[in-house]
Amino acid sequence: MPGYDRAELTAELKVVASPGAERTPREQVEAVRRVAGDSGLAHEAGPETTVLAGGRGEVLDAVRRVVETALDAGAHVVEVKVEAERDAERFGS
Amino acid sequence: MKLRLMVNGESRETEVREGESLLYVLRERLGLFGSKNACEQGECGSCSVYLDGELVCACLVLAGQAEGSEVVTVEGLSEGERLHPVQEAFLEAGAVQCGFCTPGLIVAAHDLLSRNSEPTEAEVREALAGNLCRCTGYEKILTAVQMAAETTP
Amino acid sequence: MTTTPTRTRPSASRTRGGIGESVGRPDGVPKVKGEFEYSSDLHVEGMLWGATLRSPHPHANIRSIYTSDAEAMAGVFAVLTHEDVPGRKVYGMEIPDQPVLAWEKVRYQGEAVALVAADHPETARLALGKIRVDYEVLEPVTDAETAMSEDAPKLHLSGNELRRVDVRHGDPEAAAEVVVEGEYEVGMQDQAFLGPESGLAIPDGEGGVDLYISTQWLHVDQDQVAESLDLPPEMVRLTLSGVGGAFGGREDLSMQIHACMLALHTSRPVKMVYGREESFHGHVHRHPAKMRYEHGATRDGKLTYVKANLIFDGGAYASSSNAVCLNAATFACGPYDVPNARIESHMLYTNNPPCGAMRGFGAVQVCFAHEAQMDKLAEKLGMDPVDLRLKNAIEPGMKFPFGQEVPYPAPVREILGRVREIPMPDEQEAMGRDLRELPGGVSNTTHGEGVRRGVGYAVGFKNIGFSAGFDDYSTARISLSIEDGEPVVRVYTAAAEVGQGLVMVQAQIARTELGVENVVVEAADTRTGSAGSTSASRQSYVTGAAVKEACEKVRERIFELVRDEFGESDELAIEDGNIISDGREIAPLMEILDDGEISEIVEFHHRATHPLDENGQGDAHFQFAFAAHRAVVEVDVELGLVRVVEIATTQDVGKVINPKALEGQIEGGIAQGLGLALMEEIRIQDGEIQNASFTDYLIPTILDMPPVKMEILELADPEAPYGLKGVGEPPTIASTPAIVAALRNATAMELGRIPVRPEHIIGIPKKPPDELPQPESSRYSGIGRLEDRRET
Repeated sequence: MPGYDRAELTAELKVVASPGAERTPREQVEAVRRVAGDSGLAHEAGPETTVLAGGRGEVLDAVRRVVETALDAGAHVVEVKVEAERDAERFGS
Repeated sequence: MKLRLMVNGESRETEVREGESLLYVLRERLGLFGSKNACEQGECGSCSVYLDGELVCACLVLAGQAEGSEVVTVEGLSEGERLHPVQEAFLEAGAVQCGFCTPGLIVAAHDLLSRNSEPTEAEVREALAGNLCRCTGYEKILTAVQMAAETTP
Repeated sequence: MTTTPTRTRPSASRTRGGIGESVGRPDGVPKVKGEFEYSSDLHVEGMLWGATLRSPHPHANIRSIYTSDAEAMAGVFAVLTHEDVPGRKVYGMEIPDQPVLAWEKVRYQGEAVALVAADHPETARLALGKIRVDYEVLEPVTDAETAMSEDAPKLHLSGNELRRVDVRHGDPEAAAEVVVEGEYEVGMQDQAFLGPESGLAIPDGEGGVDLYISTQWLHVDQDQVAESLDLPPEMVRLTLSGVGGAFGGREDLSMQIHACMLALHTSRPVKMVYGREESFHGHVHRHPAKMRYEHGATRDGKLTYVKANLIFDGGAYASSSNAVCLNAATFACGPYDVPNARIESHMLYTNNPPCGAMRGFGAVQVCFAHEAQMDKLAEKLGMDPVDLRLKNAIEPGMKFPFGQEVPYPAPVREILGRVREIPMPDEQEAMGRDLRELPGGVSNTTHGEGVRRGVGYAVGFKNIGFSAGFDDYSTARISLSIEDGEPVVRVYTAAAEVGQGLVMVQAQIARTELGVENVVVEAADTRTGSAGSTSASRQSYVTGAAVKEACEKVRERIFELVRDEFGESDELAIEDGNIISDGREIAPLMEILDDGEISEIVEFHHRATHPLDENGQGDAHFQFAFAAHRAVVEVDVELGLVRVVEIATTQDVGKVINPKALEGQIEGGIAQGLGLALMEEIRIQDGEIQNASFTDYLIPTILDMPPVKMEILELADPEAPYGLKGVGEPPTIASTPAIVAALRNATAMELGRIPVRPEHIIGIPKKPPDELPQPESSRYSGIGRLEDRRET
């Protein structure tokens, strides 16, 4: 029985790790995961991808922290996809 | 290798690969999907068929063991549109829900009634103890077999 | 049977096969002939067989996956890993946290790691053996309480707490004159549907795919499959094929994405069928629970407070654990008037198999505990256990501890009173009885010695449908036309028939509303809008209402045509294919319809529900269903073997739509409740399933299942179609605690854990004694000497 507490906002962040940076691609991804995990909103969604799901404000705040962490860790590119949840259309149409 | 056997009164011949069970051959080689694949280790009775007149779990019989044998499956119990009384009784009693156990139960009940035309409740329960059903709680199945016993000549 | 007038009066009572009749299944004949096509029976020329490589470890890092040897095998067409997932690499109904194929880490034994497509299932199996995965094995977290501790490894980024729901009601410091405490435990139950997970994916040659599948909810599958394939939903079309039982276990995905990936990759149709062992790893199970309870009451037996701490093991991934956690919190006190309550419901991630939906969904675990507590309280008060329940039974107009007003009908008092009045089975002399009618049966373990009888009662309740703010709806299209000179109604929905008989219910509603006997319920597919899930006992209500309203719209359009032709007419109705005005036939439907087709589509949404607030208060549910059970058991107290003699039950169903199908739901639900009470448990050691087969995971056979006496109440829910209530789950909820209460009654043992095992009944301690009896000791000599036993 799905459907309770479907998140208002979902942000998918993919670190395109930079091989030339001081920290290894692995370390860049790990840094992102650590900060994302601290938000309490995060799940892994692929080798380089982390998803933040929750209320609009908390997700957008966390996105900023996670992107900053990625950049600080040496990543040059972070792909961000933000989706607002639409329950009714999700299982219909 | 080649396998020849009689299935539901018809002579059939098919290519089989080593290790295939009679159940696999009936289903995937001969297109007789009535015998079901629920546990494939002889616990659930969903693949019950007659092998030379004996009630067996087709999943426990290697295809090669059936060479030259006579097999009757659930598909062989009705005559065209005319259902066997056991099949009629299962419908009438409401003994069918998802129906996955039904073919095996019908063959097993058919076997019981061919040996014992007036089984007691305890005898029905004992005879069908090797057939698992997850939907019905067995009450309607028991009723169906008792109904079939009354109508089977 | 009690009859209460229902809100809606059927307009066509004379048409055969309408609501209230034991109409037969339209799929019955093919099912008894073995011709009904289940998803494991699908076959097309040139199809390949898919197979899944699963992790042997409950917790491990994946260092590398090496596939070349498997790819090089003759007959192998594809070997896929996480790198080949085109879209979203995770899935999940509430929280997409489960990898389609694992990439760095596996979190449970049986997690999917790689896929193979080959020309024969045996080739596929051999190819799986040639895939080399280098694992770094990690210590698994195998217990929910361990997962809660600070120093437990974090299994997911945000920690191990998957969900927590608190319910605070009344005075948290309330004190009571009489207090009872208890600890209860529920093992992991499996749905054990007989038809294994299976399906056939056929690529359409234009980048899309058609999937023929066993599922409970086509659209939620479509949504998840499309996301992971990175395709628009219209390019992923799902059609329901024959479903061999479900019981919650098909609400999550199993092989859906995998088969589609293999089909699109190879451009060939791909069939996947799990074996039984794989099935145990391939679907979610019922949550194991540990529950600590404290009940306070006055000396005359009025409940003062309930405190409960519930800890559920959600396993490795979220599935529907969120909703189970909420359900458990809201039903934790039982259907009783509880003035003060403090409930904590915790759901944890562990490295055990993922748990999710199973019939009863969170209500089953807490019912076992709250009913045991009520018995304990009754004993302490010296009261009759049924009287205690009657005294505290909740009633319409009162408030549940989660703040919602109890709607009418809530006949807790009535069903309890009536179940007690059902005649008891005759007490037969145990000695000299047919062995098959004794505990142990044909195992010949007793001839009647040491057999004691016990009686136990329990009552339970549950929400129907989806709750807590979810927009729960169903879509139905009804078309009426003339075919071969006869009026025919066609019903189109995406609602999954899983064995329960929804196809009958839909047809019965259409016959009743449209007065046409020939109704065809078309195969469910994603071309019609979502019908929601076949779960939470909701389809008769929600899809039933959609079908009913669409039929009403079609009927209204016919009546417009009638008025156009005959002028204003009084009291129009359709009966048996004829238009009736004021009780007289005025024209056959055929004449009115001519060659035209009338088609209407309706999306039915039930009354809105709301999430719970931070104190666990809110109008979370829209319908409640209640059932009471009485169990009579016989126990061989020397060997701990049990025979359930009889179950009696009363259940309020609002309105009986199909009597025989209703009985089937009740009997089948009780069988699963009996299984949980006495035998069904997935045993897990260090995160690994010990009994993934029907040889070792036991479900009730026809020898285990007793006769069921039932009494059905029809108290119409004023908001529901025909007044009906969902019926599938209530039989599974209180049957388990009733059986265990009967065992306690027979043995005086505590029995705080289900399934109850023989060693619990005879009181063998968990750990062997430090010092084993020595051969010379008197204790040893007393054991197993046949001649001694013969003399006594």
